[in-house]
Amino acid sequence: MSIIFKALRRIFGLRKFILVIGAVHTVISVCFLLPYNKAFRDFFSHRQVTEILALQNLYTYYAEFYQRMNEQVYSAMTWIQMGNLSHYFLMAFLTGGVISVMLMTGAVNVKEFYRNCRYYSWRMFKVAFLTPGILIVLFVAGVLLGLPLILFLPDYFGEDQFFYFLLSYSMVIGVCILWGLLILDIIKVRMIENNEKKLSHMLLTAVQLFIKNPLRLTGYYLMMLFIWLVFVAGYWIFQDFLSDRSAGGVMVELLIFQGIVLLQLWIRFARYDVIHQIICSSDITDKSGFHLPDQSMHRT
Amino acid sequence: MQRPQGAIKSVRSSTKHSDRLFTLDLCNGFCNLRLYSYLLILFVLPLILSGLRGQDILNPPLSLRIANYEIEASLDTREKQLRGREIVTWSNTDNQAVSELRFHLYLNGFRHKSSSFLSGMSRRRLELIKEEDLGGIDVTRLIVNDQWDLGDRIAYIQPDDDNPFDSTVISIPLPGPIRPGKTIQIEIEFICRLPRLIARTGYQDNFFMLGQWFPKIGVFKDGEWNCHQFFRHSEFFADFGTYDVNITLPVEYVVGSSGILLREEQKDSLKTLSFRAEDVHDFAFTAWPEYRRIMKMVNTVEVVLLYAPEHSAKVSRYFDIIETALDYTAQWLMPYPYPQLTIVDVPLYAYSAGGMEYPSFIICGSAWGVPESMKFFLEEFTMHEFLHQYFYGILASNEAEEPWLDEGLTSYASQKILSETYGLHQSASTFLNILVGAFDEGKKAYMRRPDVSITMKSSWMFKPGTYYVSVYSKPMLMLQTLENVLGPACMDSIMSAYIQRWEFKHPRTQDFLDIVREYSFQDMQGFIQQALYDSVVLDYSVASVQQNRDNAGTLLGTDITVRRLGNFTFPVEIEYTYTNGHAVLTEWNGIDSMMVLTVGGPDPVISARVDPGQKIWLDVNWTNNSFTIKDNPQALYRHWLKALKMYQQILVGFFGF
Repeated sequence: MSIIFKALRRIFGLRKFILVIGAVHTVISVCFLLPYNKAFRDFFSHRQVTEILALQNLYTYYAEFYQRMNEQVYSAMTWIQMGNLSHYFLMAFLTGGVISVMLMTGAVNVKEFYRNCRYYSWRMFKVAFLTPGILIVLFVAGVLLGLPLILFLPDYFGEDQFFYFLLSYSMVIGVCILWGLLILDIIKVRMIENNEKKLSHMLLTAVQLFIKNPLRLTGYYLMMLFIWLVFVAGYWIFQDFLSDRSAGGVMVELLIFQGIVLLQLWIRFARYDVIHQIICSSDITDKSGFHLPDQSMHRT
Repeated sequence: MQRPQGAIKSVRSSTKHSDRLFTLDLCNGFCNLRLYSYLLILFVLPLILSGLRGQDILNPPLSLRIANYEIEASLDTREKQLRGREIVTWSNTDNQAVSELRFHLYLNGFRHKSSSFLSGMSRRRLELIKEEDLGGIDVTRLIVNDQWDLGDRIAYIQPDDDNPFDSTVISIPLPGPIRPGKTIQIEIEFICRLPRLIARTGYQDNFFMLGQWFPKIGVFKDGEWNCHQFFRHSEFFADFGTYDVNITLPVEYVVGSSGILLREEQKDSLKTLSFRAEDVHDFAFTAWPEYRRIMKMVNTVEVVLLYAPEHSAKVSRYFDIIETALDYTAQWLMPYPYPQLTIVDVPLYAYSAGGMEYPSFIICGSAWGVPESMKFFLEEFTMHEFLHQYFYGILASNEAEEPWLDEGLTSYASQKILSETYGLHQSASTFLNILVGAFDEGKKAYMRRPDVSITMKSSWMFKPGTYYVSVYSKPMLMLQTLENVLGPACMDSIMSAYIQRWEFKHPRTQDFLDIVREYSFQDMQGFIQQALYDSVVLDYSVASVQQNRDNAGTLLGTDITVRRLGNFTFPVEIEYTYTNGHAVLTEWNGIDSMMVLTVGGPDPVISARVDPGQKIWLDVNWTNNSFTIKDNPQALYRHWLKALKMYQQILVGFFGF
């Protein structure tokens, strides 16, 4: 657990960059959600049912909205998908900066952070493009690996047994996908740590690193995932208590959620440090060390 | 026949797992068995029922009993075949002589991909059906009155669409006429090749659902046969009668059916079950070795539930909803007239067998793990199929020619009971805090395609994708509107009068309309005419509320503009509200396409609503029924916040790199 606490502490030291990333995240969300919210406003403004909608989650009115504003909602969905894509690549861009700063020992200002982001951007984009491919491959591997589970099904199986079978099957697939994500994260960390440009080489190294120490890496990675999931689930379960319906209440809830987003980013970025620590602490580590893009950035 | 109240019996025809099941039931905590009532039912009831063989269960008869069947059937579970022999005792109750006989062979709907039934399916679905999965029925022998062997006279006819590939109706010319009032006996031997489960009929591995499996005589009325072909959406129409059915099949199979089980005889690896159903117009059964069987007396009805073993947690939900249904309908319409009701809960792998009704036999379905908050998956399903017992079973309208009389009225009645039991906007689901009412679902389906078709047409005339909206949703919303306008008391009188006056008599649409006219205090014929015989859309809207002021800023009055956006005309109420909260209700006949209501005086009007009580469920857009000058931005902000939070969470979770 000390590895996790250490990682969380170290990433907390990068709070100003997380704040920047959080701001980017919020701006993207608000901008790309605007067409949807505009459609909603166009449909419901000056209609008294908005009062009912604010109190209850009534299917009928949402059904009417999606029916009548089908065109606008459809076009808003295109915007939302564009937002997803923009967010994905912007985060890829910023992640390079976060990992590099994480690996540095001295204080770094936002300008230098931005330079690092730019320096590693192409490599990170390559990883971003590679991600769906690796995940698909591992999904297929999971499907194939889980096939023998069919042998455990009895001749007649009820839905409960089928549910547990599916659950086990999805867990096998899930573990494979998790390994895919882990390998991708190792690639990101090692790529910056070794200032390596060749993705195929890094992919090979990451797989080798993972194969040599699979249990520890998987265990800690799962632990980080679990911490994040518990945090998210906890918020979404208890968010109903924040149901002040005044304009001020809405603002407060919005601010609280931005805090929750920042905390989520903090937990999620900590996983890079966990991976870095495990790699460094084990004898499998490549001792080549961390190479900075510009030695002048290296402060002690 | 006296039956102990509230007692539960849990038995399985197969003795193989009976101990396990008994333990299971005790473990469920559902049964709370009292030993004496258990023993009483276990030993006394079979004795009582065995004495019923050859005797009437319902005395005096409830119907005319025009078509009576004695059927011997043998189910070959390995070959998926059924061999049968039936004797139909049929009376000509018309005032004209009969020169030919007509029978339905519904199972032949699955004989050929170009049959009128299968060709009505989408091409994509049809491609999924393999040739070897098709089924059909062959009549091998047909003798009338023990003297006329007419097997070689059988001819397939297609009275509705002339489709030469359709063999769902046969005609048998008679050597001599059957005069009015005469009764004949027709002996038929037949072989059924069962299809793989399709349209709630056939087999899936060792699961069997047999509906419309025997040659069924048409209805002779006004000098002609009413014997329609089997189409994708058409259901059934038949005379009432009695059914004595003996089914032989392997001992391990658990069987549920229409009617009551009189006796069971076992010989080697086979058993023969004898059933009798009276004053019904069809007989269906299901067989599956894995069924669990549980019985409970609800009022005076013996409710038998056959359920998939993995659905044992749903048993109490089934009995709760059926108890609600039996109680409610007994008060509202009429008491359920049969001594038994069999409910079948099909396993998920045979789910396409679910959602069907036969006299005193309903096929429902649920799934393991579905929470109670999702009522549409069990309660709504069961309630709907049960209400068919009235509109399909007891009234027995012509479903082929006027399908709305069954499906529309059943939908309305079942959704009404569900709404009153669980709440108007909560009766279908409260899952994830999204409130869905049973009527809401119908409204959504209707508003997507409100003008797609008229309701009043024969079932085979509907184009693909238009049947559900026109036959289920639209009439349901029409009747709910009728109830809101006339009041629940008046509507209750209409419904109970309709059922009680027409029980076992095959009412038509006009019969229902006559009762509406008789009981309504206001003329609703125009409304019903537009709803059933036209495809016009009903949509009233408040377009604007505008305050008129002079140059000095003094308020002169307020103009409220109300529009009729559809061609459906109906009188509507308009409510406008002043800033001080005082509301005034007025009425508009709704005939013109627009009406400007000018409210004078110095008090400012801030909002207006058309149909403020939301009585008109046929209105395709309720959102535009109101207009307010004083908007409620908080409501919009809250929605924006909700959407933003969801979106941000998705971005962090899935696109956070």
